[in-house]
Amino acid sequence: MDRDLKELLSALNAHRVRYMVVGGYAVGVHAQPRVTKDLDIFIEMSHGNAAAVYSALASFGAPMSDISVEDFLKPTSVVRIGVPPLAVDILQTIDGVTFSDAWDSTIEYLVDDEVATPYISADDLITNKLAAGRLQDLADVEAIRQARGAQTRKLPDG
Amino acid sequence: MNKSVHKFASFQEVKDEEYRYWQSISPSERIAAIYEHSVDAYRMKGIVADGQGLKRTLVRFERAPR
Repeated sequence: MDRDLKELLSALNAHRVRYMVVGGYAVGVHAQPRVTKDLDIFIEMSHGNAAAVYSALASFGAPMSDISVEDFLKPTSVVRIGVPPLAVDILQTIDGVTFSDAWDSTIEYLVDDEVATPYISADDLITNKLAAGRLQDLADVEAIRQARGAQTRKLPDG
Repeated sequence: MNKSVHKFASFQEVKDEEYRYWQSISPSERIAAIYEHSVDAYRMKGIVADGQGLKRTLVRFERAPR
């Protein structure tokens, strides 16, 4: 992964931000890799966490002059860093799943064997994708279910 | 190239084998592959992103209600 993306994730960790990876990267982990335009970060919408996100982005070097802590407390507000495909979207809400519901089920994966990063669980991702309901979301649900099914179906004979 | 030969009875078996492959490698490798696939796809569209880093640009926008 790009060094800067890892640096941003490290900054979130260093500032003890409560977040989880959702979107295309989460689908790729739970099913198989697919193209995505950005790394989606779902954050807990609380005052303490919003301040931690703001500090993390500032330490990362993002220009914060037009951004405030309150921006991370608005449900439909999205802050995007960078441009696709090297972009990070920071989301306070996602469809169908609350942060608190999903937090206990997050799974920690290492990015490039270096940066520990919490990912939304496959079950919560399916709930989110079904609630979002766009064609890509439904295709993602199918991929996750197929990946699960493949583990239990018989291997083909040589 | 792995020159082993597999015979599949259906397209479903082919897809299953693909999913089993991706799930057999580490999550870290899958994450790296997502990044590489995405950068490669954008390169085919004429957008070269690798090596440029995450631009320190930041925008805020509102999602439409759904």
